[in-house]
Amino acid sequence: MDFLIWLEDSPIGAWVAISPWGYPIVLATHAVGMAMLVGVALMFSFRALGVATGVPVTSLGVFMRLAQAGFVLNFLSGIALFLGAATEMWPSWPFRIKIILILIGLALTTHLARVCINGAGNVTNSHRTVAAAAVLAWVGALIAGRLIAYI
Amino acid sequence: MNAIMTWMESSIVNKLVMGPDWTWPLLEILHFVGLCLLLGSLIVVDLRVLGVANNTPLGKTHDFAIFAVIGFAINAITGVLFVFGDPFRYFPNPVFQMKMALVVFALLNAVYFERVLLPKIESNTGNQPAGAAAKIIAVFSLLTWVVVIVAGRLIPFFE
Repeated sequence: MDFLIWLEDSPIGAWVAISPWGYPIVLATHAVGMAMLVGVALMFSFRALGVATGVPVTSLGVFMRLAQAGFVLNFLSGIALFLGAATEMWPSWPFRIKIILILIGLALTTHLARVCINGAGNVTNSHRTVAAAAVLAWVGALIAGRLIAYI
Repeated sequence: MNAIMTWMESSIVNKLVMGPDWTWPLLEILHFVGLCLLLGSLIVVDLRVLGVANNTPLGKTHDFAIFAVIGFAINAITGVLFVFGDPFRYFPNPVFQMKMALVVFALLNAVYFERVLLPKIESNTGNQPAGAAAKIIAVFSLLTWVVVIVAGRLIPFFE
């Protein structure tokens, strides 16, 4: 607990929690990063699940860069948001579940990208299972994230 | 304007949105899913217009645009419900007003692309680079929707 308070008192923690613009800036960045990461990851999963089959899976690799950029934005803005409210975030179950679901979503989407985009470019049934699981993980992360404010 | 806000606040829709504790968070979750579908779809569709993944026919990547339509529909419905739930908070808010103006602009931008530019692009073999007009529209599209997302998040800070 002392460590969490120390984090909140850190320069970034204080900037997010106290300054008038810190929190809105970081929150808005987190929303844009989410749309990039989750949005592109969803499109990639939908393609694997049979949408827009005229688009070669291998050509989606370049769009995954945008998902990666979204992840970087949200990793940084997420750390700032955590520092601003560490004592509330750490014990929050929706927060903990969100982080776990993000790790699962990242693992599934990265795995799918590796076997589909960098592989032979054909989508098998096991790829479709991974794609569906990734959709559930990302939507679940989003639900958990929203519930942090309520539970 | 006052009459509209009063009517909204006394409507049955207001009771539905503000009644149960879970409706507001549920609408927020749907609004977030919708914005991810919208931007994710347009990142693929618009960046292809701008020349990314050029080896794929533009008409094919455009198949992803259906998710922008679905995402927009989800967000139009949930957005209207938010406004019915708390009209006196939204309508006077300058950032909300700006967000709505940007949404209208982004919609007109998208309709112009779909109705005027896309048929021309699809009538050539599909692998040719899109024209300058289509590229400008694509840049407008991505920038406007990103600013719409930012504006949406900033609404509570301008009350």
